[in-house]
Amino acid sequence: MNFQHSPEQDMLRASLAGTFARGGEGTVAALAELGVFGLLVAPDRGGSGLGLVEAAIVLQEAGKAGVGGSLAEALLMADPLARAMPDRSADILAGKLTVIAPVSGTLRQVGSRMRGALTLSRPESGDWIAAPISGVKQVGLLPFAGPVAAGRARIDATADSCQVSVDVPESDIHVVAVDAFGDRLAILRCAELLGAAEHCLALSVAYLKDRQQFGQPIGANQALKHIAADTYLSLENIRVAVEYAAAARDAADTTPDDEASRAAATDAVEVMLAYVPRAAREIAETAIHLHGGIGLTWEYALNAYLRRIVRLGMGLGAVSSHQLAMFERFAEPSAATCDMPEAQRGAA
Amino acid sequence: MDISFTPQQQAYRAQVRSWLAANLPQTWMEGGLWPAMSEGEEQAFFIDWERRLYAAGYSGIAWPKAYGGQGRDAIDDLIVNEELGAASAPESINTIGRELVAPIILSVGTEAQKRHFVPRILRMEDTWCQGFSEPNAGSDLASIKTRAERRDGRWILRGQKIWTSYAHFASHCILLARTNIDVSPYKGMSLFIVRMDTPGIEVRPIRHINGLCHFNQVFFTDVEVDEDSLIGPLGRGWNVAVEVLGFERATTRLYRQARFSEELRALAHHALRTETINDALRAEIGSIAAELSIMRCHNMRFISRMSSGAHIGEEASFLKLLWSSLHQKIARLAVELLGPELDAISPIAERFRRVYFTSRGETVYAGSSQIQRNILSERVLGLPRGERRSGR
Repeated sequence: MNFQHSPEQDMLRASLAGTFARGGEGTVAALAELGVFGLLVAPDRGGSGLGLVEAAIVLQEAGKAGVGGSLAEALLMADPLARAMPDRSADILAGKLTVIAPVSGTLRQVGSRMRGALTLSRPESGDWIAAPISGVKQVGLLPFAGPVAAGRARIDATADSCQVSVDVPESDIHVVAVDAFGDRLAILRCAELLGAAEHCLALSVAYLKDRQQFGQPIGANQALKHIAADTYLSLENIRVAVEYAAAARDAADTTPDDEASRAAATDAVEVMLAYVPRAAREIAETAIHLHGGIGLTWEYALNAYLRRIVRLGMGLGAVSSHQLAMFERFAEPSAATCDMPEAQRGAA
Repeated sequence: MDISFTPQQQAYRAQVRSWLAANLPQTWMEGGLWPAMSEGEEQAFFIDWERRLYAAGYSGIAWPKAYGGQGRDAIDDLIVNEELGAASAPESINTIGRELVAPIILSVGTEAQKRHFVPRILRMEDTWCQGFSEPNAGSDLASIKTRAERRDGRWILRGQKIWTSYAHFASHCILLARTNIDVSPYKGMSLFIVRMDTPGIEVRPIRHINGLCHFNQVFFTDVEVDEDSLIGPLGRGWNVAVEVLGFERATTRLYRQARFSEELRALAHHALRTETINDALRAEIGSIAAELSIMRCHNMRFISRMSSGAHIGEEASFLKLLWSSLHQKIARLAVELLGPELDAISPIAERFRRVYFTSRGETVYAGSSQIQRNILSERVLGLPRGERRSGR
C-alpha cells in the first residue's frame, strides 16, 4: 500500500501544468506531444496503456486551467475509437478527433432504432457524441452532425448546453464496448471538479491576502480565515476521494476476475459521488462570496469556474440519491463495503 | 499509487481479527462494558485489557524492539488499529503515554529514559497524564505560568494545571513548565517527567459532562524532582511538544476511523431493526459513511507519506478538525435516532449517551477547532496572522 503519486506521475503533472499555463492554439498539439490522448490506449494500438490515476491528473490540471472541455471523453474513448477505426488511430492519438459525452442522458434501443434525450455541453466542439446505451456495457458513437441538427437548442449552445433528441436507425451508430463507462467518466469529471475547486480556493486566498479593508488584508480576519480553512479541508477531502476512486478502478482493471476489487471500485465511486460534486460547488460558491462584488461580475474568471462546476455536478446525479445509495451499501449486511477493512465487512 | 495490501499484510489482519474475536471479553459489548461497572472497576478492566494486548504482541506495533515494541512498520500499525476500532475494542486509557510521552522520549529522550519509560508504558506499569493547560493558558498555551527553577541540582516546580485528563490515577505526568522568563514565551519552556506521588502534588477531580471523573485540577507546591527529569533540550519544550504531538496525534485516528464506522453501523442496524428509519436519516447516515470512507483515505495517505519519510506537519490539524466534527455528527445522529430510548438502560443507550457527551469535548481538547483553523489558514494557506501576539 502506497497511496501517493509516483515521481513519474508528479512529472506528468508538472508537464501538464506548464502546457496549460502556456495555453493558446498549440495546446492540443502539446498535449499530444506529451502522449495525453494515448494515455488510456493499449500499447499495441500506439498508446501508453496507463490508467485512470494518470488520466485524473490530466483532468485535474485541465480543471485548474479551466479548459476541461471534452478532454475526459477524449481520453476515455480513445482506445475504443482506435479499436473501431484503426485507420484513424493517428488522428486519435493526435487529439484531432474529438468526442463529447453528454452531461446527462443515455441511448436505448427501440426495435431497430436508437433513441434518447441527451444534454450536451458545447456540442459544437465534437466530431462524435459518445452516449452510454442503457442496460449494456456499451457506448454508442453518433456522428456529430446528425442528432444536433435534429436537436432543440435549449440555452445558447456556445455558452452553456443544449438538449438534443436522438432518434436514428441503429445502423447510423457505431457501438463499442466499454466496461463501467459511467464510473470512469464520473471519476474524470470529479478530477476536473477537483482541479477547478483548487483554482477557486487559490484565487480566493490570493484575494484575501491582497484586498485591504480597515487598514489590513481582509485575510487577517478570523471570520474569513476560518472559511478559508474549512474550504481547504473540503478540497483535501475531494482530492483523496477522487484519487482513491481512480486507484480503486485501476486496481480492479488489473485483476478483472477479482470480485472484491470490482466491488471496491464501484463503492469508491459512490463515496466520491456522495461528496465531491456538492463540496466542489460549495467551494466555488464560497469563492464568489470571499471575493465580494468582483466575484459577482461576468468578466471575472470565477464566473466560468462556477458555471463549469455547476454543470459538471448536474450530470453526476443528485447528491441525496448518492447518499441514499451509500446508506444501502453501508448498512446492508450483505453489501460489500468498499474501503472498510475486511473486518468491518465481516462484522456487518 | 497502490491501495492494495500484500498477502502478508492481509494474513496479519486476519490474525489480529481472530485474536480479537477470541479474546475480547464477553462483558465488553457494543463498545462498552455491560452490565455497567463502577469507574474504578472499569479502570482496572482497561488496564488488564491493555496488558493482554501487549502480551499478545498487539501493542507498540511500530516502536523499536529494543524498547519493548514490535518493530513492525506503519502499515501494520494501521492494520492493528483498524481491527481494534472495527471490533470497537476499548480505546487506550494510557493515550498520553502512548501518543505523547513515548514518542517524545523516543525522539529526544536520553538512552536511559528510552530504556526505562517506553517498555513500562507498553506493559501498563506506568500510566501518564499531560500537564499542559492552565487556568489562563488554554488555546494560548505559551502563557503558562508554572515555573521550574533549578536549585542545588534539583528542579523545583510551582504552579497549577487544569483539564488534566487521567491525573486521578496516573502514575506520571509530562509537565510543561517555564524555565526561563527572560526570553520570548515560546522559547523558555521545558518538559519534565514528574511522578504523581511526589510530595507537594495535589489532584482535585472535576466531573465531566459525561458523568465520569475524567479530568482534574493539579496543584504543584514546591515539588522537587531530579535533574534527569528533564526531557529534551532545556528551553525547547514547546518545539518538542508541537513537533511530536502533531505527528503522533494523527496516528490514533487510525483506530478512530474504524471505531466511528462501527458506531455508525450499529446505529444504522438499530434503526433498521426497530424500523425507526426514514429517508432523511438514511441520507444522513449515507453522507457520514461517505465522509468516514474519505477519512480512511486520509489515513492511508498519511501512513504512506510517513512511510516514505515525508515531513508530517499540518495534516495533523485537518485530521483533528475532520475526525472531531465527524464524530459529533455521529453523536447527534444517535440522539435523533434513539430519541427517548437514549435514556434507557440498555447497551446501545449506555454507549451513545457516553459518545454524545464525550464527543462535545472533542472539538475543544488537543487544540480547539478554531485553533486548528488558524493553523491551517496561516501555515498552509499563508494568510496573515492578524493582531495576536506572535512568539514563534
